[in-house]
Amino acid sequence: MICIPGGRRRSRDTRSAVPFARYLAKAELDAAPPARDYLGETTTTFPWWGNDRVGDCTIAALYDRRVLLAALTGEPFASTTAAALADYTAIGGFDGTPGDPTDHGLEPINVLAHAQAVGIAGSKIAGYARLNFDDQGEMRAALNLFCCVYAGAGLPKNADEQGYLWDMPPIAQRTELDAPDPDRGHMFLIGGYDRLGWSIVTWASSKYRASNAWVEECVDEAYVIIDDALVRGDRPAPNGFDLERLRFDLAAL
Amino acid sequence: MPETAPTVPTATVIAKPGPRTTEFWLTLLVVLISQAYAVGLVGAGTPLDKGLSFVAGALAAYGYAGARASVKGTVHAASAVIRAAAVGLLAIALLHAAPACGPNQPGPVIGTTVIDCTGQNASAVATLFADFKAKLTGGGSWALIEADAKSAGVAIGGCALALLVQDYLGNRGAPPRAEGNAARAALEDFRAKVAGGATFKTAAGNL
Repeated sequence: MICIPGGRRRSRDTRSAVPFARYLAKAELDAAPPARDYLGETTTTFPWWGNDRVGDCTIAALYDRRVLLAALTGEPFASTTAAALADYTAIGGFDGTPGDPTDHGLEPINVLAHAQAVGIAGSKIAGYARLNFDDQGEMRAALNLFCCVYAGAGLPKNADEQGYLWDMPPIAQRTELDAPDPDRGHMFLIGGYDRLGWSIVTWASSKYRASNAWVEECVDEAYVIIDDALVRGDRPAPNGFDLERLRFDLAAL
Repeated sequence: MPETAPTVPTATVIAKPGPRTTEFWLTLLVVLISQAYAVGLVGAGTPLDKGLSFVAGALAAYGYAGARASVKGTVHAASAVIRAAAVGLLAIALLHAAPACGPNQPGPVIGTTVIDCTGQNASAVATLFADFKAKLTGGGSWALIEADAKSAGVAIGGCALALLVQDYLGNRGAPPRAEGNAARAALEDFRAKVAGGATFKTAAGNL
């Protein structure tokens, strides 16, 4: 398995994203269930979107989101790696040569701003909000409501060796290999949670799991997104929320 | 006769033996309290902890030890020890009287205990779950269902309650917010008071 970490550069200025906590304070959220596994509700496959060759994980995670929502809603979504790379080029100036200086990765906040203004994966998003990634209760509530979370982390050096389970030893037993590495920034999609951890889509697989301790230590950026792929006037969101209810809840977004 | 400056009498200081001084007993008190915390005799949040914190806080707040040390500074070289004692008492007071859930406190610690609801009790759990669901549909309150779960015990009652909450909140189309929050509260209350913080392993996930 060839994985390309480093494609995400941590967003420097996230002020353009509404803090989800502000919205949480405004409206009483529906209580999130103890476990929610949107990934487990589908058997769909997730392509690489070029992330086995270039550092376009910030784009690939948004394409994975579209694949997941299409599977949950039953609506078609077809796209190609070429389209994902074209988005990578449009935002960051990638010239098509893997590993060269234009393959420098992207800041997620810039990708979201582009998705809202211009569009990604063939359509625009309506809005996005940033999550307090230190508050896993907020992360769970957001995932329950929006069906997935667009999240970023500095992968520890030992992430590759850990395979599909990203875990963190007890505090007293951690080494420098366990420390989040800002030079190995990665963006991925979280599509489920339970009391012990999180289900993740990345690198063409939905088998990844991250423990609560790993998320607490490594995740340093997270967002939720609202668009037509999630909910429309004539179709409720995969979690059953209709547009009116979401509109009421999301008045601040 | 020229006036002469009055002679200021020199104070006669009599130093009491150590065991007869307040400082000695204060210092001894601090040492004993510190050792009690160090060896785990006093657990955080216990009545003894709260009592000691109150005593320490009161002493520190009134500056008792520091003031006494200042007054007797010319007498007892042990005043530094007394100040240290005051600091120690204050530290104990602050450490153990602080609220447990300040804004920067980490989230609740998830215990490592996992109760497997899919094993040999699965059949009994499923039966109780169906019973709970019927009660809920019939207008039963979450408090009533939680009480029934307690009666059935952690392994079966807890699993059935966890499954019911997951079913209630996880189904498409969310329940009314107040009811949803009551459901969550019932599970978390059961978990804290009866299940020792355990996680329930079910087919729907680790709840």
